[in-house]
Amino acid sequence: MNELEISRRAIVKAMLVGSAAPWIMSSRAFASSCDDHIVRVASMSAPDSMNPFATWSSFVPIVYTYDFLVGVDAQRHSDRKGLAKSWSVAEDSLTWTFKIWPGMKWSDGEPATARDAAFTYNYLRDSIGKPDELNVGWNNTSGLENVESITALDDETLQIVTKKPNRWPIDNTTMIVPEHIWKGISYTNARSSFPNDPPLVGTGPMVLEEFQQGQFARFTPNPYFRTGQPKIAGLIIQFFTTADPIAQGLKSGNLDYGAGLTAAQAADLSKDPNIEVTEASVEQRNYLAFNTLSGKGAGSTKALQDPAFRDAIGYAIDQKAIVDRALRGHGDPGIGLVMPVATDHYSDLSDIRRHFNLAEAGRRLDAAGYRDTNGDGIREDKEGKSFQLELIAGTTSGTIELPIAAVQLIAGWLGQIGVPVSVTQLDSGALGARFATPESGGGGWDLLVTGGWLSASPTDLLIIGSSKSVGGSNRSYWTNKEFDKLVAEVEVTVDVAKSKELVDRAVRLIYTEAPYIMLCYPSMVDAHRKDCFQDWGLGTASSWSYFPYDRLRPV
Amino acid sequence: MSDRIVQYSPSGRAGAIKGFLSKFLGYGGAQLGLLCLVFFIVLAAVPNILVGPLETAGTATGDFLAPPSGQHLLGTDEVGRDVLNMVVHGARISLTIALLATVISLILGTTIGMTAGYYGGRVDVWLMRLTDFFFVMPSFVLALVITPVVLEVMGRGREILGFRPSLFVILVVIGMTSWAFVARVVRSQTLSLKERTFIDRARVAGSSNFSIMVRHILPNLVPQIAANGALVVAGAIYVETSLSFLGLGDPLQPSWGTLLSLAQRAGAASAGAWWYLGAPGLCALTVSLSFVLIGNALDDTFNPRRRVIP
Repeated sequence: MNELEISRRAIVKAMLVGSAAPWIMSSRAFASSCDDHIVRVASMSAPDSMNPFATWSSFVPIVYTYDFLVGVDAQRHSDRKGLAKSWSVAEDSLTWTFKIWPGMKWSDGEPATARDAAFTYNYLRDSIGKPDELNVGWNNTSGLENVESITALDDETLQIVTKKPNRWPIDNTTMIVPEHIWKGISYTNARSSFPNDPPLVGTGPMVLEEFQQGQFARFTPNPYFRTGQPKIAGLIIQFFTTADPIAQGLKSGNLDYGAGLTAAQAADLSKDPNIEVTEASVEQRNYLAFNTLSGKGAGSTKALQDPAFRDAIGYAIDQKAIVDRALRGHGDPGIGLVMPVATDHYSDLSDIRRHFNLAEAGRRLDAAGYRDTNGDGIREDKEGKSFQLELIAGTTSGTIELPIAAVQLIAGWLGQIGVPVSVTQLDSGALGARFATPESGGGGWDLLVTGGWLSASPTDLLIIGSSKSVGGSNRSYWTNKEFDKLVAEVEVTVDVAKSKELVDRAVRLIYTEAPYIMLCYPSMVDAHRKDCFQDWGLGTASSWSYFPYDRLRPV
Repeated sequence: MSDRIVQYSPSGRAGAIKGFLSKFLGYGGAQLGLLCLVFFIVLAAVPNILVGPLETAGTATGDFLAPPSGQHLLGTDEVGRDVLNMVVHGARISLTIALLATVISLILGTTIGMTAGYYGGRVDVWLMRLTDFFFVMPSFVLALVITPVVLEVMGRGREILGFRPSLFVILVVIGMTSWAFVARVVRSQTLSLKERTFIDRARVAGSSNFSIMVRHILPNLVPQIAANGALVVAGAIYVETSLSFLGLGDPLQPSWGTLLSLAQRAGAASAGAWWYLGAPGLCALTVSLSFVLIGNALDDTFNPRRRVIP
């Protein structure tokens, strides 16, 4: 009787295994072998829609299918162009002329011309002011309000005329879409319901063939790519929420490339001879922000509104120790608003820089009137109240996580100069609610440790001090008329040297006022396997475009 | 009649305690549980003597994620702190949170259960519906929802009763969400006790409801409360560890759950740093297991129906 039961169970098990096996074996996403020449990539993103007009969160994977006109990579690397082969601006700094690669085709074989680019921009621009304005996704209207006209002079020439001088025509990251697919889509649908189902039609090296939300995206090579069909047979991007499975996948050979690794994983993976760990400087900056609000949403003490107090705190932050201890060298110590990767505007501010010195911080606090009068080791503010600052910390989505050790270090240093700190960690949603404007329920905290990752354009560099972005990117609520004036001037400056000078003035102004103490510029740490593919280029996959998947070759 | 007098005389009470202890310690599980517990309570009581003051990222001296060695018996973490140091200091935080949360939940559960059972009628119905709500709602999910909200509301500022606010919130939330089981057990026991003659006698003698509950019913509930309390502690340690693991703990006062969370975020599992995940994990497991063992032994000792028939 017993034996019969066991065998019955065994039969059921065998049936289950038998029915699952062909599914597992046929699923190409899980197979691992160099022979199929498919690149397997891990990503920590959570894309939803494949429609670039409807979502912000799908940069990966659709960036592999679409081209920008110019974008970030093309301005930094001569071998990483977008749709435009070359570009120039006229003497008046208003008229931009773009030369599109000749003879380009969309992945469905239709010719890709300057008219498609003109269509994409005009499609966006014409939606301005309508109830269904296209401002909810990666392709959006921001910046187009300053554009006078966008015209295709012929199939290979695009002309953009701006109202005021600005660099939007080359800095924008609008994904150029094919006119023959999008011309019939209404704005209402483009904003929301149009799913842009795979296979996507684009000019990028990879064609998105299949997308399973929360699981994977599968690509095939674009046979009409402008430099010829890519050498790899396909690309599969798997989506993860933590770095652990990515590191494991790289070790076991299930993945060829993974980004966003922690320092410990990088150290462990670099011992593997088949894996090369690389790191790239990116545009992220992590900072300590002070809540400078007075009135509604103000912090627990008025000292936070005093530049002298903030300046003194700046002497108690050892950026080098944060990079060495918390990031383990995978980053650069924080200085000013400009991160080193933004070479056009970077300055090391050596003449006005604060150097870590707890005694100096204490002296400056004493001088500013924040003394420990009752001898309990804790300083009092000017109202006679002992300091007890609330520090909130968290990672906003899409940025590299700052190890919590950095917050421990800061709390330790501030405790040593008599300013005790309590720490609350928040997830990205709760954090966003706290640094929102007081009108929308934000504020009430004292210190904030977080980071942001925008482009290296001068406007984005200065955005955290601009009064226009209070509650968004400006998380200290700090405003300054002179700073705003510089921001407005930078916005209408095309010349790089002049823009550098303006940015430098603004950076120095905000550095001395100290609403932010820059902590570090973390690097993106990633790893790729060397046994299946070569020509990884810089090693690190571009965070602004599809490189190096256009040139990757099987070994 | 004479039995009763004997039972309440001091020597009789000592005898009863002796009898209880010999029966209780007769269970192998109870011995093991008590042994582990004493060990961890010693750790929690004098961490500074055993391993020195709590290391922070600022005072860390070790190498990054170094495996166990003579200098660091349990290796180091991702910023070079000694894992043994943090685990021992974590014992204090984990145990304190678990024990205080249990006290809160026992007080709540006993009060509600006894009131419902004693008064009956409408009071019983309403209190028990409240209990049912907390009973059917998985307490961990409830805690997971309440904690961030409470943290946000009262997260700012100074220490509350000597605890950092985030620890205090976790403590209260665990206490608030784990009392339903106790309330159920206490109510059923109260229902049976209040029909006994000694309660009638007390009432006839003129005792108030409150004094009957506190002086006559409560002492008879102690076995049930003790046995269930031990099980609640085990649950509280588990919930505290899980909440901290999800990042709701206090990063400056690491409990075992916070350590696990830090280890996971540092990628310790894929980097092969088993000591970093293993040490706090094993501690949390051992302590909650020993509480379960003690709880079961207490239950077996007190409850004749669960007594093993020789």
